[in-house]
Amino acid sequence: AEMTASKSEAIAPRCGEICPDYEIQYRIEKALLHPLEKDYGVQFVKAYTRSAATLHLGNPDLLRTPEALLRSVDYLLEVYDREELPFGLRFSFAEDRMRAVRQDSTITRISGEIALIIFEKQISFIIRSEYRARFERSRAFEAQLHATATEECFQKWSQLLADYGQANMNPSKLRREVAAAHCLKRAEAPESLLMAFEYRSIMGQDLFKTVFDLLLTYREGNSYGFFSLLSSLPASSLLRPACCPLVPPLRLTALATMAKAFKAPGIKLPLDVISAWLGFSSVVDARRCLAVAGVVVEGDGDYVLPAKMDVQRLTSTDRSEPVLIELECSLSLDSLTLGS
Amino acid sequence: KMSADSYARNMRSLDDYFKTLGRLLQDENWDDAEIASKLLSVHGPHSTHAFLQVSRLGEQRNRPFIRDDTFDAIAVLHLQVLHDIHVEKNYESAYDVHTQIMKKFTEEILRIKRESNWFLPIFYQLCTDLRNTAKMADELGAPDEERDTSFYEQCASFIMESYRACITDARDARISKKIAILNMTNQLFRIYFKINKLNLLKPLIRTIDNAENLQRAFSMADKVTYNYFLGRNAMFDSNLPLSERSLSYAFRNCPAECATNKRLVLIYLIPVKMFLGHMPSQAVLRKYKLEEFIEVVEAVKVGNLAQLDAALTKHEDFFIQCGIFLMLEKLRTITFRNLFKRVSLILGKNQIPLDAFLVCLKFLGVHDVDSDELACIVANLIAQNKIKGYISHAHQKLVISKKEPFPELHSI
Repeated sequence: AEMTASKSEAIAPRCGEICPDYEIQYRIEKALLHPLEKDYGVQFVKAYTRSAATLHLGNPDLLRTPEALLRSVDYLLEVYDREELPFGLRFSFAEDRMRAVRQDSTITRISGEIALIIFEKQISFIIRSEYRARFERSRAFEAQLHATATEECFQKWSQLLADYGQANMNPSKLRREVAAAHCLKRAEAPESLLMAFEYRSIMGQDLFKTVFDLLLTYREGNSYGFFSLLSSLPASSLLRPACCPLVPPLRLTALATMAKAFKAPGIKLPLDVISAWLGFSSVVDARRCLAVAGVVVEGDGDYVLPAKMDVQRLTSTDRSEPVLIELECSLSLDSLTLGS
Repeated sequence: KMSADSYARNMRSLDDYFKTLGRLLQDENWDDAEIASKLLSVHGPHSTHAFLQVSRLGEQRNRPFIRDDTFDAIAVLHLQVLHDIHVEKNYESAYDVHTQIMKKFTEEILRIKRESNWFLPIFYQLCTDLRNTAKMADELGAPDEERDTSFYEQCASFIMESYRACITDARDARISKKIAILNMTNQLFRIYFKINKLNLLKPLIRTIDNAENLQRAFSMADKVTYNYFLGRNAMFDSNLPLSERSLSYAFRNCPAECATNKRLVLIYLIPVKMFLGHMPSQAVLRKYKLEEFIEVVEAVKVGNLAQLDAALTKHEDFFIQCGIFLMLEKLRTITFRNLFKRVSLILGKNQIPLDAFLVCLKFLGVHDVDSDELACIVANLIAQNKIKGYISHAHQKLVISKKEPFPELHSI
């Protein structure tokens, strides 16, 4: 409800800065500074506001122009990329201020190519930061809030694309990757393959084929094929972190498949084979994953007896968040910065 | 009794129109209402008569009228709709006026008339026209960036309002308005499919499932339509048994002379049947002009994955529409399974080197699968019970059961 724009005319924004002067003064007076603004010399960026009592949501002087919103997003990405700042702080700062960007975007009904670019940069941030935040077990990460933001951004972006994006015959790399990421987000649903066709002209044939094959191998349970494809992607590709939520269920499915398909007395499955099927680059990581999944590693830690694997436990859908995070880690996602 | 076409041909004036409608409505019976419904349809045989494309007839004195005030008002509004479409070309206004017809019908007939349902054929036509005028407004009207939802999406709310007015009528099926829920469900199916909000169908489907006492009162046409959409929806939910049952019912009960509709059902039924291991014959495919499926069926039967990919690419747009891509992974799995079955039959042994499968795949033009991935694919077939056996990793062999190693797909 706080994001709902009035059904009457859109408000023409007047603030050309990344934070209105009024807000800067107000927050200084009330000591409402983010630690990064207070202690690390980061510039003020307009914060997300819940209550209309303190700051009137529809005041044009407090609403940023599209150009100011784009500068805000670029600055936030710059701050997020500063590795010398504590991760939790830069993550929470960027996440909150991005939410404020979306708030202004909704109230002012931002549109056109600039709106698309703003949402694409936000989606890139959301996807990459989620992986990093989960990997770091950051307390600043709230799964539900993040999921809502992701859904909101993709919905708005696809609407803008339908309205304005088709005229652009040369979509940017980011736009193509966001389209791909949108398909991968829906991988569990049968219509994900149809989405890939819808976005094919945006993605281009090569990226379309990659996405299509990723979706197909995932839906077939072909974990070997899926992880081979994933590891062949460039380190900076947005598709890598976009695939992260698919990894835990696929790994569990692969283990259950191995348990059934190799289930004969005496059959030993070497750890390097399991490692390849589960998409691990090292057996050390594979061993840790197996421990989390409750699979016993035999001998000198170099093989598994599928006949002893508990299929029921592997196919159980009742998994805690830490277990899922453990299962999805070690994907060798080295580059988590938001470069172009 | 004359047909609506005949009545329309004989009309020469507004007076004729109102007299005809009045006569058809006065006996309050279903058959006459069916004829009257066509004379209240935006695409009815009367709609092109210029003397019926009249604006604000209600404000004119000494105009012809129908005795029943509600139907009189509806007729006047209907002529306004015709005027907006044919004279003003103002499609948004036509839609808007038609929504007033819907509201009037719901408030003054559905909510008030008790112990009767003879007027439902008219209501069904009004619902169809609501969608048609909405489509016209969306496609031919002026674009409006401020509007959040299309007119087509908006018309669902009018139908739901009428739905609520009918659902509580617990009288005998012969006089109950509740029998309209199937037709309305079908209308809503069409809307929700088009706007891709299939999740909204669940409560409607549940209501129909629970309306056992009304099944005999529903028309066969509505039942066929319902099962067609139910089957398509079940495909999206990957519920193949329900999809097959529903689409098969629709196909069986669709009259032979409705070849176009039968073909439409088959477009979705064929992939579903294929997923369950039943391949259609070439004769059936040719009879219903579904030749696009011939190469696909052939490829799946012999286990030729490269041929399957090529066949799907050749008629891609058609296959996207028919939903085959919704479960492409299942089709590919069946193709693999059929290939491995053929290889095992050729070799005649119950221990098959995995290399044999790899050689066959390469021979058939699939070069991007290596031995590790092949093992993964075979393992998945075993895990899905499509192959009875196990893989010996040390010997790199598939050991299949001596008894029915490749169970029939429909039995899994």
